[in-house]
Amino acid sequence: MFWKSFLGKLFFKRKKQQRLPETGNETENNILQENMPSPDPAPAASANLSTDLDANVARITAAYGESADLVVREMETATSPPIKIAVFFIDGLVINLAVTEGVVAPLLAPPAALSAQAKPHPTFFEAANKTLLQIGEVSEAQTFEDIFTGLASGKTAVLIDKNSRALLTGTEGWKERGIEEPATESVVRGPRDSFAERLRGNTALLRLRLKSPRLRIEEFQLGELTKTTVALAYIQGLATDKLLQEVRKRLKRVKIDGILESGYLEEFIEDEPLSPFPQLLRSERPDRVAASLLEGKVAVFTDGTPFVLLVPSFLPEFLSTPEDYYERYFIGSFIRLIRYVAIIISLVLPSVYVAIITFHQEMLPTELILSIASQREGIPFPTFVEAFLLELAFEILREAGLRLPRVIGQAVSIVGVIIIGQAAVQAGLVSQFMLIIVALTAVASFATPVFSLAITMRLLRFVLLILASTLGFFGILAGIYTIFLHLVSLRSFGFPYLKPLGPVMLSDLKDTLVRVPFWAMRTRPRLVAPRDRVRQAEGLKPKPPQHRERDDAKNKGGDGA
Amino acid sequence: MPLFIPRPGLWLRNGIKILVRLCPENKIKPKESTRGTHPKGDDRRGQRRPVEIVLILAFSLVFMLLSCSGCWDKTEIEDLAILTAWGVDREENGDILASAVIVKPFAVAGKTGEGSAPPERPFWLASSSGRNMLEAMCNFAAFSPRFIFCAHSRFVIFGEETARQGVEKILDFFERNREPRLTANLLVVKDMTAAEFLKSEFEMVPLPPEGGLGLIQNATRRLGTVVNVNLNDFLIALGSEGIEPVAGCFEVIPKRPVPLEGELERKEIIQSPVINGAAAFKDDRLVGWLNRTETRGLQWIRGKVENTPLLVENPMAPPALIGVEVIRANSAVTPSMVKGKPHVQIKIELEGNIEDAQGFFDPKTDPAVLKNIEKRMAAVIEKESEAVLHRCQQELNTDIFGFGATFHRSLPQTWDRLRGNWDTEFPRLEVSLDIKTHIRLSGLAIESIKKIK
Repeated sequence: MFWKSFLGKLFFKRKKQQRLPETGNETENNILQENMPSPDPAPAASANLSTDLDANVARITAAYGESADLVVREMETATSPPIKIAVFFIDGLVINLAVTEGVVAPLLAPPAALSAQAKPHPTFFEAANKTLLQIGEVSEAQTFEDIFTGLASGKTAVLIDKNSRALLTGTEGWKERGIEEPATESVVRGPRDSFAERLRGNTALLRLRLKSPRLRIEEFQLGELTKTTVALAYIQGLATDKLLQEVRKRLKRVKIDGILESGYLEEFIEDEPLSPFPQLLRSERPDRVAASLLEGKVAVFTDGTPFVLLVPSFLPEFLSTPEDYYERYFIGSFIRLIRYVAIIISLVLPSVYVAIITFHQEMLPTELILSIASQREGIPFPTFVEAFLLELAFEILREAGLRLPRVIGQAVSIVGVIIIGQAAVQAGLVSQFMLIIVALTAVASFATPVFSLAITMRLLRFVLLILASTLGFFGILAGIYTIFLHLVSLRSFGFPYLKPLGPVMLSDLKDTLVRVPFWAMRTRPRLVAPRDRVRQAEGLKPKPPQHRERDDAKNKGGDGA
Repeated sequence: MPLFIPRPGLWLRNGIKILVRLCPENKIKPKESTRGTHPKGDDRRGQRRPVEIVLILAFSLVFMLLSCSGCWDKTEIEDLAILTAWGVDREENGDILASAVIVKPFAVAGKTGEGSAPPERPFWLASSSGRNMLEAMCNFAAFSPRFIFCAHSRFVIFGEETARQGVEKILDFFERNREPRLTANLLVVKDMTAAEFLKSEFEMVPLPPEGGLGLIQNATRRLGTVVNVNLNDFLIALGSEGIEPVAGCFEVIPKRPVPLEGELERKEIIQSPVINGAAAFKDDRLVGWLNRTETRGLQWIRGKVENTPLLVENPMAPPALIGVEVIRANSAVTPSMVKGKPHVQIKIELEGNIEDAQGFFDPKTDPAVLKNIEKRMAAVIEKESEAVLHRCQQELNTDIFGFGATFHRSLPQTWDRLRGNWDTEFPRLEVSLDIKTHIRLSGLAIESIKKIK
């Protein structure tokens, strides 16, 4: 029992993580209203609208505390009797022209036919909804909460006297970043568009790629104050219900004041919160998200960030890039193999060097060891300290270059690499070999396509370095075994993290270490899309034209002549 | 004197104790009287949050590891004296005198040339004695500021006198100790002690062991009149029955001090080694030297010739010579009993290319001339083989060919009878040679420059 719990601690396996009480059957759109007291000083936001317009207006303005960007327009129609109307919107989030021409103008001056038979107010509400408002998207709101959310997402709220309902018109429009090239996943060959911050634009990019109506998008609102929209995208029939339910369940658990990036969500919904490994792949490329959906995965969009989470994710996918599929498969496979080599180098190279130099000097060829020994002459630090200092210096340099403007960042790397490195060697602080090792490791770690995995490796590299300097190869092996034990115990939304290497799945190996040509990839990955596995017709491998056809063609040509 | 003695076992025990206490299942209930009320409420008493446990665990593990550092086998590379060759002699009183070539890494080429200081010798020659190899090696510590590290030793060299007295007691160290490699070459120095021999230097190569290694490889691949024996081969031959060991042989040709010009500041090379022939052992004692012809004969019989020049008389224009470069040679030794007497048949088959032809030579005019050359080659090989057979059977009485071992392998019952008196049977052993030679190519030309006889 003890060992079980000890190992459990060691590999961060915790069954009962949930501290918040499991919430029951909520509707998907307002999961936050239950179980959480509203911090608003204004009247409870979930309260319904009253029929008294003035009271409603007062409550809304009170809720916003007279914020400068809230625009309130109270007006009366030109009918007799006049009908009192209040229009709310938040300046900067709406297209002013749309509000003026689509909402205010038609309400103020309804057509003569309508004004002639100006009837009691409930009818005018219907008329406004059905005929008057010249806006594409109009929805009804019953509660103040709905109005607040609507206003914050750029809708214009229309309140009509004697009605306990409001109309939310889609007048959204604000300055937003355009579609640019992906900053973290650039490719030589492949589409150049990437997600931006706004959710709707992002789902549109996905919809453009997957035109089938089977692409479903479900939305949640998370974050008590930010009211961030989180969307699930999946392909009906490919994503299993079990996976979808699990994703929904985990998302609904999240009760937090704000979600500003998908990283917030990631830490709430991943399986092993104490693992150093990233368990969810994030991408800002629509093509990559589309490809994942085609394999039966679920994408989690978060409003306000271009990074989309893909669930479930497996370790081998962190070493693949969209370009593997766009270049010819020989190249794709070769580059992918190189990435595996690079990640191993970035994990173990400094520790192997330290272990050999301090414990296993007999493992190197004599010439090499003499060369290293001659460079180590006069270095005041032990090899481990030398390695640790240089690695640390490199991390600092990288961090410094990352945060600075690009132009200055280059200057930092030049200063760091050339001046510090060269000077340190000449001053006899570090040896040239160590510099080579650290530089090689750094370059190898840049070859890992997903940044979150690269930094995990960096972290583990330091652990292995300490192990190597105390126990030599034995320590490295112990560390690597521990890492592997941890990896095979990891799950991503219940799926083994090392699939298809962890439980070996021969059919899925076609797209792991190498990428086989498309005509050989007939089936989708096994665990994720168990129902509809076949993705292409049989026998699509291109063949040269048959001899008989050629003969036929020749004969025909002869006839013609 | 370390004040802090690392005790990993103790730490492990204490660490496990701590872990047991940390695990929620084994929680020790706190006593009300000692603890009082917990500031954060009663429900948290006696419980630790998982993050806390993991942090404590991680810190204790890292602490245990870090405090272990410095013990066990850790040695920084600059604290090692990298030894590249052993020379072993026996002193008058029977003690072992171990000489070592220790490389000075800072003086190895690549770092020299800076400043005006004259480059020093890149190696340090040191000797130490002891009653056995281990003691001799440990005695180095008395005067070497760095730890002797012999995993990179390329040579074990014996002086002639030592080899004649027997080397078994010395070799056990090399077989048993963890550091020395069994791939180190084993050689005996002719007419010299090993300590004296190690003073020699090579042209072109600053480090003597590297030079020696180059010499052996070069001679094996191009010349074929040497044996390339490493510790492993020697120990196997020494430990098996029906075969006696051989070892390589170094000789020193004294050089007159010649002023050398050039960039190297070494003014002179006083002694320079050549590699020559082989040392034949009986059991663990050196019994005699084989000259170059005999050594090549030995290599023909053992099938170990890689590449060697073979000179025969040009049949079309005697006494001019034709040089054949042997490119491939194999041998097969078949033991048998003929009329109750042991008999060995040796089949040697080799291929060569004509690389040098003097005088008139044009195989197009008479194809039979190639057969003639092949026959003459076979004659040379037969002569050389018979020379070494005669030497070993009649003079040295040592079975370095391993004929006994072939009987042991192929005719075990016969060997049971022969084993006891192989020393008397071996000189009487009948050996028949069956030599097949082939000429494959004639180089870039067919006929010789001189067209007319």
